[in-house]
Amino acid sequence: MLKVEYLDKTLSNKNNTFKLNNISFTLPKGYICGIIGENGSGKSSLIKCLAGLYRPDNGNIFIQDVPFYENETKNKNMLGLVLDNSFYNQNFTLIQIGRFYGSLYNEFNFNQYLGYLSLFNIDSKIKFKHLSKGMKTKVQISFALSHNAKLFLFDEPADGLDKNSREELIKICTGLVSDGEKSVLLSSHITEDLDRIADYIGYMQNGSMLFFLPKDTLCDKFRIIKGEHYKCQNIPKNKIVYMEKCKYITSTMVKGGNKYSSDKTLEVYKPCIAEFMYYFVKGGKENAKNIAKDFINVNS
Amino acid sequence: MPKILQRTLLMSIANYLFSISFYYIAFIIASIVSSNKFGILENRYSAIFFLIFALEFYYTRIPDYIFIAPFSRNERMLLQKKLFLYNLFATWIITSVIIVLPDLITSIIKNNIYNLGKSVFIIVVIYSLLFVAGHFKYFNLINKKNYKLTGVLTYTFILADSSVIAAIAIDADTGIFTYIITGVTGISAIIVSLYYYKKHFKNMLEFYSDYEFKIQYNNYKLFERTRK
Amino acid sequence: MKILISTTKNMPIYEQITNQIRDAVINGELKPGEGMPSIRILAKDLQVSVITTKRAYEELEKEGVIEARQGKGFYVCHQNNDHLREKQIMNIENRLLDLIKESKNAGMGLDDIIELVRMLYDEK
Repeated sequence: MLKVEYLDKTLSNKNNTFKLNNISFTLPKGYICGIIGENGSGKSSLIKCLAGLYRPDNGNIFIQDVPFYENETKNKNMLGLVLDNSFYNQNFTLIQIGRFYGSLYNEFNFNQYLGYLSLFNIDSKIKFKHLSKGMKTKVQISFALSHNAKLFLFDEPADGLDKNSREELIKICTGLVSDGEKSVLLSSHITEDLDRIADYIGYMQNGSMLFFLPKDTLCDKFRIIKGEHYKCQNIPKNKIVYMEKCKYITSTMVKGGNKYSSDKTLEVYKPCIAEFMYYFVKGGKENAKNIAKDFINVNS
Repeated sequence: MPKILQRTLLMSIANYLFSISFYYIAFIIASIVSSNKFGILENRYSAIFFLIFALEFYYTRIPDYIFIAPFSRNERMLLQKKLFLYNLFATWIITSVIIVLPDLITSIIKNNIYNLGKSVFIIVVIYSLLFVAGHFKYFNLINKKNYKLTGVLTYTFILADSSVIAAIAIDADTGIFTYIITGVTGISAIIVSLYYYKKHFKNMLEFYSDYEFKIQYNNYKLFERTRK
Repeated sequence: MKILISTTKNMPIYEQITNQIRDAVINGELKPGEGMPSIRILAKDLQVSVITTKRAYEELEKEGVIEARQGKGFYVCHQNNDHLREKQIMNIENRLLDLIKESKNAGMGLDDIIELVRMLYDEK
């Protein structure tokens, strides 16, 4: 569905430059992929590259095996976008947004758009600028779902949404991929949601993608061990990703599935994405890079 | 042409009419305050006014959404070109009607064809200036991207100056000098704008249909830098 | 068939699915030869990721609970329940181990635990 090969992009403004560095991954048809990473790690920039806003310096983007810039019109018709700043005219009402922007797409379904708006409980006669941040995202989601897109790029869709709407979004995402034809790529820092719905996880750091793996494969590679500090100290140092020492309990994330301590009183379990990310980030950038290179990406 | 672009075009024309009405309010007030020397001021003001005005309104850009809508870069360029040319055409007609028509009527009433020629001259020069002014802004922008700024700016200033001199000469009616300065200014205005069109127009369209350019210079004002 | 997914548990989601489907087969809620929902439909209905569901089905297939028929999807196997029973008992054993550990921490002896279990069992 989506294939990215050796993508490089240097972004510069007055004061600083940022570089997306040699990003490659493949997202098959019918799966959901979550991009995670700290703030400023390049998630949004990557999505903007994929959406055709930034033209890559090097490398290729393929959508259904067609190079992105070879048939830009067709490829962009297949993209459903939710970006951090919406590109709509702020003075338009939601009906106008549907009419004006919908006519740019080949297969826009106006009634479907209104249907999604009412699903989210948004009055379609309000002007876009009077909406709150979460509602603006909902309008973008409604629009993206209404023009029969094949690849959905959601940049922080859960940002500003309440719990109910996030559940709704989860339902929508899992519904989208259920026919096996559509794919969703979303960046989010609300990792609980990703835990549930993401098939693949891509981790960004400083503009590089450290790994791109099926979520379960990733979680299988690590264990979290919790227990008294003196017991945790027996774990070999080179296996520890990060050890957090609190007064009453020490929790450690270790590489590999085997137990490093025979002590049954220690609690050992597989991390979820939120926990994984917490320990992975805490372990430091250089450490994360090495682990990704020497451990995660090996024999996967 | 998509509906959203038609709307942009209409908004731009509405803006133009709105601004030109301000210009005429100033015109009427000025004529009440000093009726005598007004002719000189009028030309001078119109040249300066249109120059400034052009910088803000003349270059109607394609709406933001076009960047993510299903268009390739070439299609975006085409849309930008259409928008630009339609806008040019519309403003040209409006300006002609507003400036030439009153003069035409007064010339017919007073039986003074010479005055009509003056209006046509103003239109030509002003339009060349508009065109060049738009490019002036463009060059100013790309200069930040380390493009080489050629001698075109000097050219533009000379043109602007000479058009003001020509306007004064027409009003003062200095005989042969009037014809020479008017002719030279008018012809060079046309030549310069044609030169720009041929050499940089495509370049500029490419630039305007690029999102990265757009975000880098989103809120960039021409006089921002000189003030600092 | 009831499948309940909890994201607050430490148990991976695919394990939760596997356990509950296995229970359903043993209880007779799912009859041998019955068709299972397709992976994508189940993922959509449970609102979990496709790969997780696929993994759950793979585990079940490995255990011999369900079988894949080429191009037709998954079906519940005809099987002796002993094997499944074993698995189920093993699960209970694991949970009991946890309980015993906790009881020991609370200072309860074996007799106390048995007494408690008997009392609770009778009540039900």
